[in-house]
Amino acid sequence: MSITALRLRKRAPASAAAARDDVVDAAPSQQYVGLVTRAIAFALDAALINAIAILTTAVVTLTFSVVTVPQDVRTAAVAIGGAAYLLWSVGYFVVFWAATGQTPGSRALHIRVRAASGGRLPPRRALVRFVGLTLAALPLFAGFLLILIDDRRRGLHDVLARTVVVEAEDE
Amino acid sequence: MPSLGTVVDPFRLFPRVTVAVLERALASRLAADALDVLLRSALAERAVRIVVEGPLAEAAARAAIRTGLVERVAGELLESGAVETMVDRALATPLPQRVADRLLVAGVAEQMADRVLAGPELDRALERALASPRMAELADSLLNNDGMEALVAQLLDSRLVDSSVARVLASEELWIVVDEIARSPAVTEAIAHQGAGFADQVVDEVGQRSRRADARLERVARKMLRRPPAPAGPP
Repeated sequence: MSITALRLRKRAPASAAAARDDVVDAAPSQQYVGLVTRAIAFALDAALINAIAILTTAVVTLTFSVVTVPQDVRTAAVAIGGAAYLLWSVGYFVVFWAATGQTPGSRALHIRVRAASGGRLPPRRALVRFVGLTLAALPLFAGFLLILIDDRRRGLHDVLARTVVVEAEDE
Repeated sequence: MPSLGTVVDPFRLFPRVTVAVLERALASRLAADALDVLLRSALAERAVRIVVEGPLAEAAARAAIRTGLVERVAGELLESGAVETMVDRALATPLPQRVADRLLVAGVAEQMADRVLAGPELDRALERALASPRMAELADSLLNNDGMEALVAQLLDSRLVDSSVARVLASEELWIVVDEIARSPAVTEAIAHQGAGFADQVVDEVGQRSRRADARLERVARKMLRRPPAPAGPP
């Protein structure tokens, strides 16, 4: 067992699961991916999410433009649309991360999200990662700057969800 | 062999009269009719056949060949220009035209053309011609010829090419052909492959550049924060 693994075993019990992940990940044969590549992949995903959302919104708006509906219904429709957009965005990332570890943007750049332990990401941790992503963006994206100085290139959301982003193997 | 005069006047008593009588007799119509009857008779035909088929004619022919008589005669004929004159005269007559007409009517020319096109001789001749070094030299000299270059340039500059291209472009058949080609599975597959290949190339290039930017940005950040360089990742 490596020195790093022995050191991590002395952590608090609350972080036992995280320590277990780190132990398994102590000798990975993966190349971690940096900030720029991940930002480009995220931009591709954002473009895809928004393109589909805009298309859907255009169809719904055109439909509403030919029928007369009360203002309250319009307001409710906007609220539902906002909720649907949020659900769509969350669902996009959570489903792709949990299912394959690769969103379309990540697939284009040959990168993959996986648990630090090496396995596939459970949906619950994928959801935590998405929340962490939002939290990392809130303080002027400072949460992402961790990627630049962390040895495994992890951001705040990676630390919270105990994930790493690695180069995808050739398929 | 005794002469005809000896038969008529064996003692040569009236030689002049004999000659005159013989001349009159030979020039007479009766003599001509008698000769004609003789020549038309089976006897004359048999006699000629016996002579022609007999050993005398064969021996004479062999002697003529052996002594070079035939060659000499042929040579003299050719040198004298007699053959040329005969050919010229024959060509000046309607005979060649008639012969050609007869051949065309009988379908001989078509049969010959069919035979030549169907037979292997033409293929062999073409193969030999194309494989011969002389053909390569000929093509090389033709292509490197200034006159040929000028001719091609003149042809391309001519209105003929422009009008021909315009006519081809205006023809409906061309666009039908283009449409058929564009719809063919081979072409669509090739275009799709090319498009996918280009997209993959762009993504790969972006990926490589972004990974270099990752490393550079990380070095700068670590230097600013006075942190040690990142451990080298496994390959």
